[in-house]
Amino acid sequence: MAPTLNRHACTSLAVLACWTFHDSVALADPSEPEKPRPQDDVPRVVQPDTARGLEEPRGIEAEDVALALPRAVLAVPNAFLGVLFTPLREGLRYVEKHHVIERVEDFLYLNDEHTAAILPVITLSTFFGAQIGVQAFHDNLGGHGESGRIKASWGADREQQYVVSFKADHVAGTPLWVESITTFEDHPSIRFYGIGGDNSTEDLGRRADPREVSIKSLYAEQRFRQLLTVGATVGKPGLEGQIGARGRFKAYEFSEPRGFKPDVDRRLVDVYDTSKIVGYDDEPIVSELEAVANIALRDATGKSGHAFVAEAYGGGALPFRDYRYAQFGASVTGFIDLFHGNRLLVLRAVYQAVAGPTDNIPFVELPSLGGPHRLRGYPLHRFRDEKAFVGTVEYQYPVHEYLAGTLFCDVGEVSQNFEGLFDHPSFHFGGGGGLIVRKKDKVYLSAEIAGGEGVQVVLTTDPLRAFADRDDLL
Amino acid sequence: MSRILPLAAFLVMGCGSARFRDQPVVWSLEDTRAIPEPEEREYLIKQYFADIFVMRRLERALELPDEERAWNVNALEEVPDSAWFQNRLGRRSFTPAEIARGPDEKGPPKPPFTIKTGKTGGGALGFVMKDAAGRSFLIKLDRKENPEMQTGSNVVVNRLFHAFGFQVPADYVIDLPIDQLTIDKKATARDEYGKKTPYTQAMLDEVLAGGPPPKAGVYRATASEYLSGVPKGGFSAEGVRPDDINDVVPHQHRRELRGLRVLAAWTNHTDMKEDNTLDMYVEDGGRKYLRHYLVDFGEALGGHGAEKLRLEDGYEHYFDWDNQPRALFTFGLENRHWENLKDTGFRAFGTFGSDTEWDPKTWREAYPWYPFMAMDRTDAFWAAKIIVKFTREHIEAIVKEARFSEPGAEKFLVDVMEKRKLAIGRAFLEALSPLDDFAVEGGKLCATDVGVRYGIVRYGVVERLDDDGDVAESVDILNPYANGARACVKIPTESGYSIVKLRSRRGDMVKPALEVHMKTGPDARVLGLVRDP
Repeated sequence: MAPTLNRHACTSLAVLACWTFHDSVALADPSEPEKPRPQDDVPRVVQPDTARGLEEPRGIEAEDVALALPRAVLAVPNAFLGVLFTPLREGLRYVEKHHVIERVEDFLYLNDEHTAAILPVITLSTFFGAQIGVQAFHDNLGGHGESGRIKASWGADREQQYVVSFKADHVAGTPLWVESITTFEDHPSIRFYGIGGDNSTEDLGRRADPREVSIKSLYAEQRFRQLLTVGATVGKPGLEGQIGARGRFKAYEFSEPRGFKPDVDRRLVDVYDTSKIVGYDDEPIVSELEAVANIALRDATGKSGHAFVAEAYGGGALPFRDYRYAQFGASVTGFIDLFHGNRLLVLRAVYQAVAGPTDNIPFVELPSLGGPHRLRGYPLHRFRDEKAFVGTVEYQYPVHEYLAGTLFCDVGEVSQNFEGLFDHPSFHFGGGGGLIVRKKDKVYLSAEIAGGEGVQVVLTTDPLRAFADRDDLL
Repeated sequence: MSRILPLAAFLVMGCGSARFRDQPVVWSLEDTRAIPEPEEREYLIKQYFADIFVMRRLERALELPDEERAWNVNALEEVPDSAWFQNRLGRRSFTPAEIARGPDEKGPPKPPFTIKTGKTGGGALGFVMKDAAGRSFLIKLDRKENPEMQTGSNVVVNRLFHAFGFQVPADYVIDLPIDQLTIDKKATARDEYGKKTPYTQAMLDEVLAGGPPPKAGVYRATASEYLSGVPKGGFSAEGVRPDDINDVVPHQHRRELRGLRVLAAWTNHTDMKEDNTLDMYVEDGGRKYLRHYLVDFGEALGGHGAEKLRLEDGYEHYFDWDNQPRALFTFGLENRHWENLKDTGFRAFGTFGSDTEWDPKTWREAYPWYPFMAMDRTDAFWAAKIIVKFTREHIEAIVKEARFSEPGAEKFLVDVMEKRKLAIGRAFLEALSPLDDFAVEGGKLCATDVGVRYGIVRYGVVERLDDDGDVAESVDILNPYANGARACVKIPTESGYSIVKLRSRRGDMVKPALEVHMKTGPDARVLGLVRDP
């Protein structure tokens, strides 16, 4: 049995400088009549260098000699990669060979269409840690994309979260738009930086008025929210709009933060005079009613050329309890095609306001800036007051079929009145860049690094949707 | 018996000038020795993709692979016949009818047809059936969105690959009358877990519904005849198959697999991956061995891009570590060439052929294929030299096999293939001195300027260089009809071993010189060629 050629291994281990030859060679000349083939026990494999017909086989090339040392050095990390990749390869092999994904899907999903399932919820955040839970959903209850969901999760920034929701843009295929969301959330540690956009950050050495200073402090919040929207969806992708009425019931409880580090963090009650934070000591309950409308002139959510998206709401708290205010807001986003339909300039303006006697507006109902949807680069609720404005200039460009790059700059300000937003502004700027994982009709994930007050990593599905946290499940 | 030589000896040999033995040129390799039946190689797509895009790519980068010449070439830098490759158009002329027939020996399937099993693997819709003569065929339909695209491109590229020299199955575009199609009572399919289940009418209905609607009850389909032998899985993109002692050349060093990049570029066969190769354990002359096939060309000529909605198909790997990071860090300021592509208006071709400035050197397969990465300019030259031999009449005859129904589609495709052929000639043939067919004639060394001969350029000059590299003799080739673009130069008259250095010149542009190694004297003859010393 002839040994096999092993020049490749020789190249990889050039320092060993080995070469293996086959001695037995058979050459065929097309001009000669075909001869009977020899017996199979006679090796007849033609060694390629012999087919080349050189008098002497090629020696080691100078390039191989020059690369011998770097190859020997890189053999170490390469061996490490081999150790690292072996279980990955074997894992992938096992998953495919034993149809693990199909089996897991069949186990988790309750129907063949994979629209209904009971799934574990596991999210990891570098800031908040792990959140685990379970959710049951059906995304096509009536055959027209009606989505029902029950979710319970624990951990991360919410010690507890329970959600029951139903959403349908076209109930039973009709224009009827219905959303019903009920949530209970327990946040052990939420940041509070006072009220107003331009406060001093100096510690006054006493419990301060929230409009005096802006110092990071923590409190705990339990909230129950119930939302019902009824309206109509008209048009179709490319020119689609919704108009309706939305009622909300919200109940809050505030307390001292749990799990905070005394040497690093401060409690809200130690920094601020809570009697001057409207609602903090009262466990506020509010009911709101508002009109909502949105319009989208884009045919592809993930990749869109010239397009325009707007959203607005207006209403207020119902006069059942002590809190009375009006609230309204509008967000306008334009997508301008700069080149090839995939280099987009995105311009966004967001205005949000509450109006009424200051003492009648719970602090949690004040519009706030910071976080992934309003003023990236700043922590959630970094600034809050009765009026808030955010402007965005964003540039999106393609990298891969499913990946776009983005560069953005957000500017925002809060104030007690509208004029204050622009009279003596001290605008807060945040900017950065990131990646958007998307298909034509859907954004899966937006991962961005934003600088403003420190550096933030922002993970969300739609950072440009300014009012996402008012209605959706965060 | 093998032996191990010390490093020093190699360094000495490595510094010396290569000399050829005085022997007939090897045109056939004996790699069909009988072997025990090998195991079937598994194709596990998740592991495969993880390797070609990330894991193995990283390992290969750390191995610092150098530019190594192809191993399996003969003295003339040609690929001898083997279980991998059979010289066809490269060594002899074909009539258009011959070339259009391809590997076909028995003709298309004859009704009535009986479905035997469902189709597994690949994206296309289909099933396996037997015809009236009991021959088995894999049947695939077009996608509803692109009628005639997959069936058409498959048969065109099948014939081109066969004429080039690769082993391919006999594929046909057929009419599939629904009233001639029945499901065998014992027909089976495989479920998502790979378990056998009965093949049902509902499965057939689903397949048929996924394709374009029939015309008068007749579906258009690709019929790919089952190859003889036992399938043993695809061949790997690198290394050798350990259970095949005939497989001695690492696949990334096989010239035909490296040069295949040029053929794949010509036909835009971007779907080159292990899944589209096949080793068959065949019996021939009482011996059983592995024969190596390329299969499934239905996503060439723009099909892969159309199916995946990838405009960049043929220009970037699916995950491209060069172009996509560059796009990220140039912030979209670069106008990537493929972004300018437009639809051709032909449903069967998508955007294929709309690139008026197509550069074959920048072509990329969708899934990295290591032999393509190893291709050097001598591999590319070899492949281009075969491709330019396809005449317009050859291409027209092949394209007719596809039976495109859209008016103008056939001519459009022929025109596109001709333009791409010329681009390949300019890019790869003209990168070196395009001289070939060396022979001693009338006491002189004669060669054909294949660049002129096949219309890549209009004229050329062949120069013989002396030992100092100066021009010793110059011969003009004015047109392809003047003596077949052949030029002859003087050779030494004394007996011995001589190296004649020749190069081509196009105006002021001088090509790299090549070496023709000769035995000179009364019975002068060519011993070997070093095309790119």
